[in-house]
Amino acid sequence: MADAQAVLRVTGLTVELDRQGGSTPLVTDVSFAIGRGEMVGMVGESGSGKSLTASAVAGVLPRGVRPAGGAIEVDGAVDGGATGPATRRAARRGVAMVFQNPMTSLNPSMRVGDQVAEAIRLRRPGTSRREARRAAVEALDRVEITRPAERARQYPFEFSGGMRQRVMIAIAIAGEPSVLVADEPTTALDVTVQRGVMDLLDRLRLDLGLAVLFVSHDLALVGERCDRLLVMYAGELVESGVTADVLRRPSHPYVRALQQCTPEHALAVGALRPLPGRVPQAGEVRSGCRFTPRCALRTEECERDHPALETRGSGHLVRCHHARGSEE
Amino acid sequence: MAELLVEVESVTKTYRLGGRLARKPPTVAVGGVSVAIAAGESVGVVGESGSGKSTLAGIICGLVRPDSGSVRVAGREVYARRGLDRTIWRTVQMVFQDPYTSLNPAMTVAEIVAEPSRLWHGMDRREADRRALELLDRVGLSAGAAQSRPDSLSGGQRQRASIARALAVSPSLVVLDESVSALDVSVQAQILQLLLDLRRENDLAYMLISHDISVIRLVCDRILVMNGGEVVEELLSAGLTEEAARHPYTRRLLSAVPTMAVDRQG
Repeated sequence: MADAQAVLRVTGLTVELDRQGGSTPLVTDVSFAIGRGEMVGMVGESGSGKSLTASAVAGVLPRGVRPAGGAIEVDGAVDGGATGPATRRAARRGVAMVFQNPMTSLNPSMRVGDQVAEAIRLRRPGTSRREARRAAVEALDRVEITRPAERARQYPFEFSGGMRQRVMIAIAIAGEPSVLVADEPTTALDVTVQRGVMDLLDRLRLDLGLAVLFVSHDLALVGERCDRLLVMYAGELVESGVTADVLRRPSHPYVRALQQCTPEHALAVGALRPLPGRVPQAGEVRSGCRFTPRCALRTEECERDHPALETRGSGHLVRCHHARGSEE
Repeated sequence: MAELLVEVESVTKTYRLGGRLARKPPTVAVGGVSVAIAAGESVGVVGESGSGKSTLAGIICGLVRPDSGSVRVAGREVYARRGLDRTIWRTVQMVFQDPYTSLNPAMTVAEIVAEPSRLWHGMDRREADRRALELLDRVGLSAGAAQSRPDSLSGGQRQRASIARALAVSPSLVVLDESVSALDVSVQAQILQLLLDLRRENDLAYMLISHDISVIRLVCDRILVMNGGEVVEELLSAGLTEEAARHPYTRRLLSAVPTMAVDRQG
């Protein structure tokens, strides 16, 4: 994408787990940018570092885990390096996050409308209660909750999973962010409900010009909805590019193997091809290519040298000694 | 007709939400459903949340007594008047949706998976342990994970431990309630392959509840579509298209499935 208009720019992000007697890297040197109104998918298995990257962008890393290097720039305000607390706050405020489980993220004993109003008053401290309540109803209407005035007076338990996720999105956008980080927002939902929530996210990012980082383990879903893809493995980016390039002509053997694991692929070719082995855990990271033990194409070079992320066509980056070019 | 493993005849289950004093009318979770599953059969169940899928699974597995109707497993009445026939758990096992509450937190994963072999098959400790490790390996859990307690494992690892525990009983039917949909595609593929292998090797029958119709089409021959507590449509996986489905929910479900390769430039 045109890097000049990037709303979110992550450069060399490294995240570490503090342990007695040292620290273990969990995410290593991740860089990417997302433009206005763009939705970028981040995929990988559990333990790939995708959720930690998302949490670092939103500034909600778990206890004991800290950003150890790199910078996160939101609308020109930089968080990381030698920046002061004011710019760091500005960068933070530009990012909102939606999580996988909307039941545990909402306060069960507070009316839904009041929870949205609270977010609005946090963003604009001068707002009166009445004004915030009115704006909350508008926000619920914008996420397509029917009879918003009536629903605003209800509690979370009176909402279905899909409706709760819409409330979470209303709270997220009440802060008027420029970046929305969505971490597996539809994983717990029925496919038909998932489609509604995805349609809503799609419309909002276009209407509000939101830069969306969409984290998911569902390759098919990400393939259908995202402009570009970032594929993570063992804490680093292994392939990124325009969705059609990455999914139609995957260059990294890991991406090809992941694709062959999907039921959609198995249905098309009539056989499942499980990917053997598992993602290395933090601290188990080897010297050469991190995918080597599971890779069908491994050679001595892979055991020895850690491959760099290299260009294989316009905007298509791959970290592999044996990558196929996307323009072949 | 192959020998029937499970015969469910017009079962009904209603719940009173909010207790007896609530003025809400009782909710019909399952209303007059009949299902038959033969040995070695693979049945998929789809439906929106609240359609009665999990209640039906509970009824089949001897966990939810229906208000009316009958359930027979291997020819024996499960909900007999004198009480539940517990021997059915040798034949039918269930893997729950929530891997956080279904494993004993005080035992290691290897102990949890070894227990059924000792209880149901009278194996000695060494034999049971060996079998547990073999099963854990087949679901892709390392020896390290086997020696851990459930609370130090990830959700996906726990889910795999639950699947291994259910299979350790060597049941004739395993019912999996949304047990594979949240797993990584790599792990999911491994589990699905295991189900296919066990079906071929041991004539295992399974009933898979999932909102992922692609998964169901891949490993199940027959698909039951539930809506409002009833089975509204029954389909064969082979050659299933949106046009073949008659019920509006089935059509919506089939059209909502994301398709992998979409040309976004086009």
